[in-house]
Amino acid sequence: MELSAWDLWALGSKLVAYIGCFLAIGSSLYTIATPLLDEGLKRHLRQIILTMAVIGAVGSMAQFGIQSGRLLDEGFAGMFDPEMLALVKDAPLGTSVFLRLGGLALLFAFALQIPVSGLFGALGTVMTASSFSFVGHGTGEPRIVMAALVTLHLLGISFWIGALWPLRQIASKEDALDTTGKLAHRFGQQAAWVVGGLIVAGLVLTVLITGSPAAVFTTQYGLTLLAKVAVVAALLALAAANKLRIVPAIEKGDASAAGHLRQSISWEMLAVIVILTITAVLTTITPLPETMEMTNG
Amino acid sequence: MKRTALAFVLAALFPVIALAHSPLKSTSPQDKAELKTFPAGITMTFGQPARITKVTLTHTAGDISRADRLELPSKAFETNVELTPEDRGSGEYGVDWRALSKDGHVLKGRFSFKVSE
Repeated sequence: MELSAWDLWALGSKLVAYIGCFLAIGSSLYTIATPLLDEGLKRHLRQIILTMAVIGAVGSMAQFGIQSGRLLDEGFAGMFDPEMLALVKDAPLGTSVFLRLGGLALLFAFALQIPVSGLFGALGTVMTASSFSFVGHGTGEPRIVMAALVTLHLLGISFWIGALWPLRQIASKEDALDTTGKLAHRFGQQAAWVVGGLIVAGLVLTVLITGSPAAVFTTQYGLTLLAKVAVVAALLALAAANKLRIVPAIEKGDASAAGHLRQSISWEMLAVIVILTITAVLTTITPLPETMEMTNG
Repeated sequence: MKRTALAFVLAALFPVIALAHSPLKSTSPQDKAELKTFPAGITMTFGQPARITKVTLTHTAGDISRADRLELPSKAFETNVELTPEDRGSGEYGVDWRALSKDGHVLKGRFSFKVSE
């Protein structure tokens, strides 16, 4: 199958929605879970949440119009075709985008620090993450298990993504070696739980989506997933090196280790962009194993 | 660092782009079939229910090519879609289709057949 301009637009808008939503969720989760953060970093995180909530909302709404245009394939006008728009509204993407916009609005309110914003933050992260379980390969059976696993998986990866920027910022400050050590050590403890959960959720989802462990090696979907897992493994290797070598060196007062942490986090950010791009391809273009078979072609 | 990063991104994406293909389970006529007469109908069978949104039939005879958008038989999610296009005689026919799957994916593909009356 050739990739059309519509496919690339769909991929692009989904990637923008992913980056916006996951950074808004992750920055909120990291703020809630890390009381050690100083006021400067918290303010910076609130700005990231506000910006990313808007970017996530714009990407999600663009997905809506692009889905309509893609279904009709008659140029720009297809994005505004009433029949196609109604079809998308009633389809899983419609439900997903409406729930997501609600979740992002709550995260926006959380970042503005209005009364009971903590509750808005907690609700907003779950609503935004769970919106992705209403569309795509996670909508299979058993429905509730799949939805819960997708939501947990996304909350976990978002937390990780949300921690990268503040950790990199603090590691860039020459006079903050002690804080860098404390925050990086704390993230190492938090991430150990998150990684465990991500691996379990990812494995169960893989088996449920592909139908069997063997399908991972014999189907297009499974092989694409393996490419994603290879990049995730590289990300985990970087994280392990940080936890076991770089962070202990920072805690011992080695100033050069902060530079190594900063560099390592930059690589982690690149790995995250690749992982999200492969995920966008997996959920936009790659058909599921049971719909792939071409019996007479 | 920039060159290594680019190589890293391309290497990770290559298998994804190289592997994508059609989600149709079967068609009648079969893809690349050679027929003596124009078929009574064109049938597409999906692995999962799909809502067909557009089908274009392109007929090519010699240097002349004509594309017609076919009327859709149903606006519901179905696994079987049956179309009854007009017979345009000998030549090559290409069927381009688009559909929405139940889980929200846009499906699309193309198959072709030849009629030599």
